Amino acid sequence: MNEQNTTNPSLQNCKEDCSVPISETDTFVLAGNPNVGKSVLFNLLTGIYVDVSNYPGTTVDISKGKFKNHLIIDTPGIYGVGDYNEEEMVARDILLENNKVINIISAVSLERDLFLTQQLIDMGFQLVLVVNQIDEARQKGIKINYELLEKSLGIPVYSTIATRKEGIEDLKKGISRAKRGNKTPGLDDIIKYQTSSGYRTVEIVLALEEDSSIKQKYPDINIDNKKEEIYLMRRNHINTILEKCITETTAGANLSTKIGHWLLNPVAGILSAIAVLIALYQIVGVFVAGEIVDLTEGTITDHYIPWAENIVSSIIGTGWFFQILAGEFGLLTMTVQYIVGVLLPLVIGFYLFFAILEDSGYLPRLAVLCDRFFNYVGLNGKAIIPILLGFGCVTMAIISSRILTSKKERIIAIAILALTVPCSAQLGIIVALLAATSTPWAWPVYLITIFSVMLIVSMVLNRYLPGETSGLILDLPPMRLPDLKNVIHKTMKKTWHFLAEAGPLFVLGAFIISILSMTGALSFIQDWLSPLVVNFLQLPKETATTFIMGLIRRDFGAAGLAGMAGLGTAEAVLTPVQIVVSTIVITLFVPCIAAVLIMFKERGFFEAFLLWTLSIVLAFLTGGIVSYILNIIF
Amino acid sequence: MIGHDNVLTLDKIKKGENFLIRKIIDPQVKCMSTRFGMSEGQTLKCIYKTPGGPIVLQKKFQEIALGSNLTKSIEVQRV
Repeated sequence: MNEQNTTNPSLQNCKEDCSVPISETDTFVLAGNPNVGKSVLFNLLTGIYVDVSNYPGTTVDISKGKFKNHLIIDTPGIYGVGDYNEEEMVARDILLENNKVINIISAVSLERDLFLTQQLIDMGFQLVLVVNQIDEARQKGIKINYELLEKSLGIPVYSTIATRKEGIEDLKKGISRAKRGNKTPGLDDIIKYQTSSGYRTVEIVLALEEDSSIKQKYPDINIDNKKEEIYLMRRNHINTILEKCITETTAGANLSTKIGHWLLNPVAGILSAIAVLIALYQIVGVFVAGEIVDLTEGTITDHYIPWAENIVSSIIGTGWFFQILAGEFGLLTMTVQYIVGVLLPLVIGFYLFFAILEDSGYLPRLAVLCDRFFNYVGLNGKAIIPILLGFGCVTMAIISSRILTSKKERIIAIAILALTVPCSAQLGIIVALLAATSTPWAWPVYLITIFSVMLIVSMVLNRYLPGETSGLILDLPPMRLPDLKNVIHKTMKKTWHFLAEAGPLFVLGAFIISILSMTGALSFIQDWLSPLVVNFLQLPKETATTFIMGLIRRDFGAAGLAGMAGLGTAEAVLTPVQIVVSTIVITLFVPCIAAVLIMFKERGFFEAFLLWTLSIVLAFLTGGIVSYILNIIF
Repeated sequence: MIGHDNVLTLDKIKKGENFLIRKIIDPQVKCMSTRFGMSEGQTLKCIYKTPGGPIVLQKKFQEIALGSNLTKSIEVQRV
């Protein structure tokens, strides 16, 4: 143990193991498991004046708000304090900077949630406990003896139904009662040999539980790994508390439990997954990507762009600077049109849909259903989330691939997304293109080709990439009706995060394309691609232009093809075989420039460059093979 | 497995069966499942098995899904 530690300010002013009275300006950290109503409670405590900011170096956003003179910091939903994933690390770091916690748990999952509560107590935090969702617990026949729970844990306990604002006033009055609780029996015996060294209890417990941050902060720290021992002691202690404080008055499952079980049945599960996909396609793919985007993009092209062009030209004339700001790929014109007109409605639509699926408890069940299939390609069931998001926006999906545990899984998921998943902007046009062939074989050929490429690429990567695929271990929350306010709040938070992260990349992408276009590099690439397009893919020379346009915006490429396929008023110059081949190439070909840039940001230069090259080579190779086979058959 | 014929692992448990967890070999799985309420010495029920896929376990109102590759490394005993 490092006896020379003098950098820790808490050592001088905080006597451990005694509760310090709460002052009016103390900061409280709001901590709890996922899906226990933490955001709802945060909003009830802090009102509308909330400051949301990104936690430095992570994808996690942290909200801060005021309750009276207290600062309340919201943290991501976690199952325990540690370094298991990014959310946990952020929550842990915030907790380490503070010492007072409002811990919210769900009355229906006390077994699971009290682990975090007891861990926070063991770490020496001053706590107030909020047992939420007591209405659901009542329906399930769970009876909680709050007095006994309060006595057993040694901290104040409040019961609430946050969505109905029940119990909130009592809680508000009781926050100042926060205090240190009763540690897991036996833990003090382990800790007492360490306290003389001057570390805080939270640091000692984290070190005993083998947390990497403590080892980093104090390289000389010399504490044995007792994680398994402490975890088991804590678990047994919680089980004893639960036996005393909980009674189950009714047996048998209620409707929520029945639906939850029913969704795990393969037949019902697949049928419900198909229903969800159809709903997703109809709501986001057809309604948002069609009606809403037509309206938003139309408004911008009709009103905003001419106005922006006029303003820019009146100030700086029409030179090269005008081209960058308001030209074909202008930062103030095309970029705004794309981000605000196309992406924003799509991303909101997708996140809204996903927030509903998430809050209803459906997503983990879908992950369970898909796990076996994803195991074949080196992923686990959780990969369904980025893959489905990819049908909305590949850039957004690549960002969300961070939820996957291992590096290997993230590379496989990004490869699948970059190569084979058409984003919603492109999907609508692909559907129209394949329909324009008026042949029964277009869809099967397209789907089998794309699916085969996905299987081959992911299986090869799974075989040759080092590392392991992590096994699925998921908590299945009860099925419930999502709270509308929370769904909207979550959607807005995620949308904002996406815009903040991907927005600058779209701007940078447009800038690069403008430069390529003005210097003639774009036409050079098109000319260079032409022989390949004509001889190998057996497509007209102009198709090369649509492929390059796809780099700027995936749907631009597909839209270019639509004209050539005879959609709208144009005359068809492509045969059905050529339409199918070019649709396959445009799907497999590099994703849009923002997705490429985010790939570089996520995976570093070397890996992203390899993935990028792979997608170009595979797009043309697959297109060439399909073209060759189809031309023999037809 | 030779020499381990008498060791029953979680993947062999059928739907509806109750079992006692004897040993969780993987430390990561051990800690995560302990957080969820599933630890060595506890009795749980298998409420669902997707064919070839994850197994769903229940302890009171807590439901946990475990991928099939993890179930092979958890030693159990039918009760």
